Amino acid sequence: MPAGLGGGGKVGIAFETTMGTYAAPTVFVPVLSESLKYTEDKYYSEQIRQQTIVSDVKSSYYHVEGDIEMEVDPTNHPYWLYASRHTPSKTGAGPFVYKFVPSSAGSASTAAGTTTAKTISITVVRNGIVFGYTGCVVGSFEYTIEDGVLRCTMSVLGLAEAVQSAPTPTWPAPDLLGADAHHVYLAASGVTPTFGAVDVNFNGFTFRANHNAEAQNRIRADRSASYISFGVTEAEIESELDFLTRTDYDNMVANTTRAIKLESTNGGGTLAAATSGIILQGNRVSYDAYDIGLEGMGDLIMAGFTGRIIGIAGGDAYEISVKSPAAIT
Amino acid sequence: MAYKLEVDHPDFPKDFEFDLDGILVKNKGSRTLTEDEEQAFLSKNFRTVKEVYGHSTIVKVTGTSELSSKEVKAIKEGGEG
Repeated sequence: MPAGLGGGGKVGIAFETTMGTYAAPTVFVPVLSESLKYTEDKYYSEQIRQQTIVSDVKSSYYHVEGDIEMEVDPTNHPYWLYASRHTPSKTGAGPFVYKFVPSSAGSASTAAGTTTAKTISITVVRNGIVFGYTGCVVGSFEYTIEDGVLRCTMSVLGLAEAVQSAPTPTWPAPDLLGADAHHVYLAASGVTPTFGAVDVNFNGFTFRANHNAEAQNRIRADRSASYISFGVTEAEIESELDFLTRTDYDNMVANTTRAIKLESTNGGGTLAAATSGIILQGNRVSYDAYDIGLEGMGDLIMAGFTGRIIGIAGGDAYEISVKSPAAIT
Repeated sequence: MAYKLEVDHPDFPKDFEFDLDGILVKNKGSRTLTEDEEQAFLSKNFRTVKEVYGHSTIVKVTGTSELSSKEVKAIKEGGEG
């Protein structure tokens, strides 16, 4: 077989009925890159036997991990979020709005229905060779606007890998969220913050959440991971904006929390009016840092901030809503 | 009768368009391939439409090739070099 190029590869996903049991892909995802890999700490025996080199190797526990980088496309995006530690819900009659709020699940699970998280099988074809990763969940993720387009990196953990038969892709038309799609809003923090006018001074927007997922291996006659556990949720928003007022600097000093929202839509200014899109919203954000400086004679005066998303009584620390034509059932 | 591709994806609405290796087919709809389209598909994949999508659960392939078996073999062999 001749050498292959990344562009010839393909990635497909499917929800699993039983966690860890391979499901052939039904949705194909145009990714920018992926690095899923079989991860194992092999056991090398250090027996003392008149040698100073290890004398044997045994296979050990393994799991799957890696990042999948992609442009955010509402067509396939809900599938990824169903595979993360969130409580999902679905409304509408098509296109549908999927809302994901943080859950406190201790480990990954899968079940049918629109209100339960799921594990996914991820099929990757590299130079015509098929890898089937099973029991996969999104342990952490990061959204960012790059070159005007909203992108994300999904950090995946999975239970096992095995060869599978070659999938047959069906590619939906791309539905990307470009420079004319984004709106940033600031408001007082709250369970349902009241956002006013669009803030037009932001230069970049990064939203990340880490659920501190780990592969757990238990003693049984199988080297693959037993399940994926979750830990503390660490979520934050990072950005910079033109420094025009002291308001949010003073909020940082006074420890006054804020609500911050990125609403990226196609076919309408708001998610409700749009044909597709996403909302990334921190309902209670504490400025960890709000840095302003005179960086140079010719440099714009910008404020750079990192805001930690924290819990709010009676509500959700953050919410992600996706409007999509996909009808997940 | 030429190859006919039908797409039935349960997660997507009717008329949602899918790209099957360069062939656009709407969900819950079908598309009959011309000889040129079939030839272009074969030249790109070195496998027939039937071979690629024959076992798909979403795409149904009916009909037969408009190309002669000799033409199919020649194009496939062109991909083995």
